[in-house]
Amino acid sequence: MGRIVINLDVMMARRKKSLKDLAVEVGITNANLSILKNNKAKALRLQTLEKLCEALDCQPGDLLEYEEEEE
Amino acid sequence: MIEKISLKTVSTVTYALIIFLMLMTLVILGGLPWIIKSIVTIDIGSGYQPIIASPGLYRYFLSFLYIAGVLAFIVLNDLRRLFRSCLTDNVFVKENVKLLLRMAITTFLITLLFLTKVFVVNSLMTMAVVFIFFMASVFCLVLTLLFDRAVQYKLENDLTI
Repeated sequence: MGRIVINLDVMMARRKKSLKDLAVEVGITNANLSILKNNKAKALRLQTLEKLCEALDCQPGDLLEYEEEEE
Repeated sequence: MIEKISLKTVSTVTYALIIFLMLMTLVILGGLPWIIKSIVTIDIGSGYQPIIASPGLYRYFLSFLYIAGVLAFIVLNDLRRLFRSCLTDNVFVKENVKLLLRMAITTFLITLLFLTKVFVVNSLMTMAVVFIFFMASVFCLVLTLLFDRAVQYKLENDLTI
């Protein structure tokens, strides 16, 4: 059983975007973006993923990664 | 039609009513010995007599009503806390699940208490109270399970970005 990891901080560093600026561009709160960044989110809307890709100029695969959880 | 009913208005009115009932419970508990002596009568076969004529029954009634009163106060206090959370729009929280479970247990204890009265001094009213509190206990248990599920859904929704 694995999990999906969101590599938001990596893309944010590459595009030199702060949490606050990205939150404003995507249209979500700082708190929600922080939940996403810290991999605490239970689900991600496609609309949010679209806006993240647009703001960070990347593909969904750049942000999402599947990781096998060690038993 | 349901959109016209404000949760805040209903919760405020109910909250005020619960506070009033809690105060009445305290007043009655405080004056219980005098209330029982002056109001409660028992049928001794040849007519009705004040309960004080039978010291054993009087002590039973006093302790029975004190325990029932305290349990009722606990239920009312839990209800008060539940409705206070409705006023802050924060209904589906783990705390309310615990409150509802405690209410289910407390109302069941009241059911058991009144069941003892069925074997001591029975009446149609006593049996009705046993049934009503048993149903209230079951209802609270169902609400506990419902709220628990609702809390899970809310958490999942809150963590959907």
